Amino acid sequence: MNMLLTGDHAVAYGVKLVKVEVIAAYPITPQTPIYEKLSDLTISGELNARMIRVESEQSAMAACMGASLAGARVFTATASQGLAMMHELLHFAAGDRLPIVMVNVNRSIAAPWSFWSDQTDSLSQRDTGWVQIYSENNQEALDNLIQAYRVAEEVLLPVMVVIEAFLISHTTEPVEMPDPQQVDRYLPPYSGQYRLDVNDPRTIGSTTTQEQYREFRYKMQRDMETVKGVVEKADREFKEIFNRGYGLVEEYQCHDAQMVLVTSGTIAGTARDVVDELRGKGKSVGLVKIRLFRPFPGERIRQALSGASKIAVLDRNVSLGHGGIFCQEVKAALANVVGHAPVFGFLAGVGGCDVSPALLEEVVEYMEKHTQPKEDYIWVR
Amino acid sequence: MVISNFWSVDDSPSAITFATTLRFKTGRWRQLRPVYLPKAAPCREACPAGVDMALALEHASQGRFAEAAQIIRDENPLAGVCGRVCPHPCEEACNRKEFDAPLAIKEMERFLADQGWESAPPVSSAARKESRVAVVGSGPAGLSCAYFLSRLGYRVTLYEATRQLGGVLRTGIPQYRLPKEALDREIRGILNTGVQIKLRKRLGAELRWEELHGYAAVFLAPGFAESRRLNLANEDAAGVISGIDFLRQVNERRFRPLGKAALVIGGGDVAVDAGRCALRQGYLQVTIVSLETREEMPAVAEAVAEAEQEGLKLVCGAAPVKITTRSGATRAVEFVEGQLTGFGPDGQPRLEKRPGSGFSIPADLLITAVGQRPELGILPEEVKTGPRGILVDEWGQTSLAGVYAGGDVTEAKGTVVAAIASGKKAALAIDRNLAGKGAEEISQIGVGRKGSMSFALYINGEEPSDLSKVVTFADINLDYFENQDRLDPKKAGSKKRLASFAEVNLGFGAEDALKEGARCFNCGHCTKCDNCLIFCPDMAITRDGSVLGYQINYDYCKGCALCAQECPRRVVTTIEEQP
Amino acid sequence: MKFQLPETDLIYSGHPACPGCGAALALRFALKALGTKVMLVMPACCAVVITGPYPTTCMKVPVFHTAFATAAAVASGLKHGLEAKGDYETTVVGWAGDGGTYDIGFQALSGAVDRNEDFIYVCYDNEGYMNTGIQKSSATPWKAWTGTTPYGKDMPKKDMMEILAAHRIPYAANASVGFPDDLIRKIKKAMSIRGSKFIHILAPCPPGWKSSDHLTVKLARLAVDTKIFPLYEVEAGWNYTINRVPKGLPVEEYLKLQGRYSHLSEQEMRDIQQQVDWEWELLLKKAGMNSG
Repeated sequence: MNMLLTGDHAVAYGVKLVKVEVIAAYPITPQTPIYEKLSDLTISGELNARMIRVESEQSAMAACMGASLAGARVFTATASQGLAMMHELLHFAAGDRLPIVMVNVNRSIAAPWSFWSDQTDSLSQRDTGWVQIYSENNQEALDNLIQAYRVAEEVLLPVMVVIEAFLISHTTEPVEMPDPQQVDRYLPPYSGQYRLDVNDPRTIGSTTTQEQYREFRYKMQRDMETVKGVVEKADREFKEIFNRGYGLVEEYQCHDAQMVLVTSGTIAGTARDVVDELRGKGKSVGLVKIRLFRPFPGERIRQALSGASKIAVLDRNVSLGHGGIFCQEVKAALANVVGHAPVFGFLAGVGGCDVSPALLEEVVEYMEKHTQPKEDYIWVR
Repeated sequence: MVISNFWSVDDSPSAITFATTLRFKTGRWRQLRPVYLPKAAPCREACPAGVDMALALEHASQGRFAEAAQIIRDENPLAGVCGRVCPHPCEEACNRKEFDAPLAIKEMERFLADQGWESAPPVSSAARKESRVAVVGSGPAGLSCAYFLSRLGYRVTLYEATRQLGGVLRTGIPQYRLPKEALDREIRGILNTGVQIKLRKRLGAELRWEELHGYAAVFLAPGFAESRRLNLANEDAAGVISGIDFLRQVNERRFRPLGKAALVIGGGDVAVDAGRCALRQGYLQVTIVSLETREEMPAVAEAVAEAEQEGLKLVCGAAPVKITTRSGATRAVEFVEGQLTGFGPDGQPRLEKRPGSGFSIPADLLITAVGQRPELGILPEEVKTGPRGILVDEWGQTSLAGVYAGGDVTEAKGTVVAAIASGKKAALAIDRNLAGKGAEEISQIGVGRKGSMSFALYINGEEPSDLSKVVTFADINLDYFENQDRLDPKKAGSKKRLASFAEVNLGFGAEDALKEGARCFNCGHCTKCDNCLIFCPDMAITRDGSVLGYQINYDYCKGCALCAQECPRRVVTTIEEQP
Repeated sequence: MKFQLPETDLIYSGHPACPGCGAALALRFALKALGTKVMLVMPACCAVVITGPYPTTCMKVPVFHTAFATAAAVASGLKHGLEAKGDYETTVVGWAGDGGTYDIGFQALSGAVDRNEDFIYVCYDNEGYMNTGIQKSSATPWKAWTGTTPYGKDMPKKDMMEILAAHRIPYAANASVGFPDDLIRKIKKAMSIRGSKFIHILAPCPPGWKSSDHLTVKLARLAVDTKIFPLYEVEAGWNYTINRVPKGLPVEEYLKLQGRYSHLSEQEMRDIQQQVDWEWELLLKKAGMNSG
């Protein structure tokens, strides 16, 4: 069934499809349509979930943790400041290995106040132990959400599905709505393996020694490494049922491309068109879309970029003092590849500025003109 | 370099516990070690008989009167007597005194003793010993010694000079203070422990000293034989009688009153009892003249007050100087005022007379109650005596091996309870000596520092207690007690009293006993209140079936001492932990 | 008198609470009332240490250790999660110190009780940040020394009971480890009520109050009997009941046993007495609403 939906509403319907049992949320633009739609769905009875209308994002995540500890499937959504406020709890949720799924709507983070698409909010949380999956469009937002529960509940790590302010959250697109029974088949109920249990009383989260702490970090890192395989499997099985799949990274026209654009989220959609356009003009251009950011699929990216002679990474974010974050990660992934192609870092779309096809073409032209980037990062508009 | 060295015994991905803190022996932190150590209550220390009222009153407050009575009788077989006539130094010592008012210990003792001897302690046949011991005299010292010896398994023969047991208790204390039934009940109970009696066997007359040679030990307690004299002219006139003879005649219903005015000279219990008996014998004007001031009078103050209620007149600080007679019978006594300065070595008072202060009091009956003395001439020379009686050590041992003495025949203080205590101590000393040990070895059964002994501790063997330590008022945790008025028993109206020799003090009923018994702090005695267990932050205290009722797990006790602090009655104390 | 308390203890020995710890006593008493069908959520506080280092626990009921500010929020979610899974019986308890209640956890608590979440929130109050080594919280009393108020705290203790009562929650009560029977009765009463319940337990802290280990219970009683910490309960935000008429002992009896007040002048003692008397009069007026 096809529906015309905003990205936020697509997410809300995804929450309904996966039969979330407890939702805790706090309003923030541009997440509010998710919160409101879920309120409608729960009050109407379409979704049999409990909605906790908490007084802060910190409490939203805390309440999700509590409900998850009871063995319930939980959901929350936030953006920007809200995500920043959750920061401490993100560490807790991951450290306690709670399979919470959250949608973060990328929004520029204050100060000054701003409301538009910028990934710095979610990327700032990259070290908290959360799996991060970036969505290109409304359909992928919905599909990523469903897949996220499969991943979270298998590896017992929380998953953040990232969509973008307004470009996805408030933009209406046709969305193929998966069949609920097929979703049930794809996603069995959560078993709640490590829940609190009065018949098996245990204390969770006690104080640890340095050695013990290191062991738990080791286990998290080890399990994070397995996430790549789990995401791929979840995506593959999703595709078998629903005929859509995305991979950890998407390679588009890369096999013979000399210049490869690397990006994520909505920019990837624009870039795909630009690649087609430039290929028509005879330029050897390809695209790598990074979907899974944490854990970072370094091996897949090295493979995708192995034939490129020039690489451009387009970041809708900025790590102040070190440029685009995707760019840093790509560079790090290539660091031990002897004689790898030069990597051009472009800060494009920071603060939600429009990344137009023309801008992307300028980026390609810049690469054509330069054998090496003059700067570590280049602001473009 | 070790790249990976993980040891996980648990497969859980996060810090989910799988063991308990029991593995941590937090008792290692301890600097103070709490211990359960029952201690002596101050009332017990003050009681020459060492009666454990703190324990008895816990039973009493729960309605277990028979158990309470038994605990008292473990230390004192004449509780029904002491509950009536004892000057109760226990109440003076009671910690409750500083809180509101001392426990009515004497009344509790009387009530409990009057519950009977149903649960008289059996003496097991296994404990029966072959040794025979003679007890001479059946006053409080003799009865006490016979009772404790019998309970220790000895074959005891009790010699009494008269036809009836009881000595001074029967002849010297009027029935309105100590009814015959109460005394008989106690004597029956004592005899039931297996004591043989031989009546009309007066030492030096029917009982020859040589007859005692067959006994493994002898306890001498013949009491006083004669009264002290005033050493005035006309002291042998008609109408003059010693207090002890007067009381004996009254008790034996042989006294014939003559005249209207009775005069008693003396300041002790005998004097007051004699005066009150005279009132009951129909004398309209009864006066007691005492050398001592009112505060110094040795008589029980309560009895003095009762006597005054009954109409007796008390004159203090005066000494008789002349007995006037007419036709060979006393008419009056002349006195001079003065101040008592002390007693001579023979027990005679010394008075600083105030010149020109003379007065006269009429006396159709003159009762002299200025003290008594034992008859010592009948004893063999080896038994050394002093001016006031047989010389004994603190255990009653005389200078002659195997011969002990107690009560009024020695130089001991002349209260009933002191006599009881002397009999008890001698019994303990006899047992240890016949077992070939010295008396000093039983010092660990001492209660406090005033010489009282615990017979219960002696026969029950080692108990985890330290009766040498006495609980003070500061030791009591007052948070667990509420002020409550002391109960005092009703007394018969003074008119009704004078009409008969019925008991003046009407005593406690069961409800009174429950209520007053519950006021007791139970100093030093564990009532199983659980405070120690409840307030342990470390769950280191558990109940067990032991005598103490609780046990401390020193693996986990950190030594915070909350158990000791919250113990209402200082059973739990702390000692420094040795490093 | 003899306390009649439930026998079962749901804590193991060997926990690392300081000797004479009032918080450990509070936990012990509360669990006697709560029983085994209970889950505890603990934010950062002494109780985290007391439960024991991984992999051990002293707790015989499930416990979750959460972030400092979040006890009430996690407890909210936990209760909803249990009910979502069909468990309507298990009692959920937020177990927090005064810092996690009065200060950093206050927003989450206010939010949760505003939603009337069905849990019991227990604040065991040792009047400061004791786990971190004695710093001032808004529960620290007026003039008390802490490591961050070296000359005494300049403001009175925040009136948390009033604040909670003002949320019109079904039940709020003061309790003290010096009165375990009253404490247990209040926990049981809270268990019988649906909605948000707040139990505020005074838990003396020997290291933090600079008092002797063995005086913990005595201090907990004195706080009540000096009217400094009266035992009372508030139902539905307005129905006040005073559970124990204090003996009315002078505050000095209580203050002099604690080193954190050793710097007080006689005038300051009188000032505290005046403040305590004033607060008590105020409470009496509120309790008067009950009969009027």
